[in-house]
Amino acid sequence: MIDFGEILQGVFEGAVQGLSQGAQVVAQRAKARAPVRSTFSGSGQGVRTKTAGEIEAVRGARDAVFKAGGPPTVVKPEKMGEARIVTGKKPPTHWRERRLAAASKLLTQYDVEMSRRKAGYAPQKTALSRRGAYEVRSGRANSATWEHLKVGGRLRGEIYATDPSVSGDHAEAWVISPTEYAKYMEFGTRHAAAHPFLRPAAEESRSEVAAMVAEAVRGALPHGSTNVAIEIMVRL
Amino acid sequence: MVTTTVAPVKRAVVQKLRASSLLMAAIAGGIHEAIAPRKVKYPFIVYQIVAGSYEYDWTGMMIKALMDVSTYAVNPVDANNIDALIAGALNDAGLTIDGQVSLLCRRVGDLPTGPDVDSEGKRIYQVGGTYSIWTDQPLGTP
Repeated sequence: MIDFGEILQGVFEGAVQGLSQGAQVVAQRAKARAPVRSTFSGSGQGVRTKTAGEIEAVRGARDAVFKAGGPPTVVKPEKMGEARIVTGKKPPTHWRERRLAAASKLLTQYDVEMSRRKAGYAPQKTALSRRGAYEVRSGRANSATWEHLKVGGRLRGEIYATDPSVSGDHAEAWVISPTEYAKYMEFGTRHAAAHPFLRPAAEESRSEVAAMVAEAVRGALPHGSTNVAIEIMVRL
Repeated sequence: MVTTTVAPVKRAVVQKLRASSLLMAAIAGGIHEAIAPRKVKYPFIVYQIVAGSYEYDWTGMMIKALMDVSTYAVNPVDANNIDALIAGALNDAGLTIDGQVSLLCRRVGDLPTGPDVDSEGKRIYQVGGTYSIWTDQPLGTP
């Protein structure tokens, strides 16, 4: 006797699991596409977008520090762009405040260098670019992501995928960019062209997500029924 | 035969918009790609390709493009009227695309945009939609 109700329930649970994996794929693609301004000099182009590799390197360095034994204690301001963190002494203030202090130190260094240049000294390299100095001074560069203050990369850092929500025989998962200005980046404004990142990610991932859902459904089907052929069609 | 990209699709959409005399009479600032110059008159239209994926089979290539077409106007009624004219011109339209056969041109969503203030302090209304455009073309011979 075949219990179709049980089979359908298994299929649905498999589909939900596939949907969850698919949403993660879309979120990763959206992160890779999200524009990020670099506030540090050295690129030779002033403002530029960080590459996905740079973002991952920074995240990797941060994760390594956490795995090594808790939050960092000393941040070298001149190395902030590379997320070089030295553990050792106990921090005098909270991490967020130290990050802010580090950013203002960089700004002071920039201002001192600009004064030197005005006085006729040969130019020396500053950690912050001109745009970066403006962004730190105006507070635009400071962003809190997951309660960690950092400079740049906010839009990319805040994108996330929700777990699928199930209501009846319907399941949906959302990829969300909660940053206030995400809408302006996605759709553009009178002053700035659009830099779409969510919709292209969804479009690029469509067939991959469908394949993941189909695979999860296939895995959820009861095995052993060799004379049963089931065609799985996924529409997104 | 050389395969073509989304560039002819953009040209075809602009041609289709320009072919609508009612629409052209309603926009003083013209049609622009991605962003309009600062001093351009309102209302105007901005279009931009959002995504363009290519799908190949043994004989041909299909382009599935998403395009945003927005109207910027100082009056919300004008913005909505022009948006309706754009939708009328593009929705289910047969586009004439160089080297490609138009399969579908359909509005698939509205842009969730609201009023904004421009550099002169004017309140600007952005109204628009996303259009899904599918085309097909034979593969080039090696």
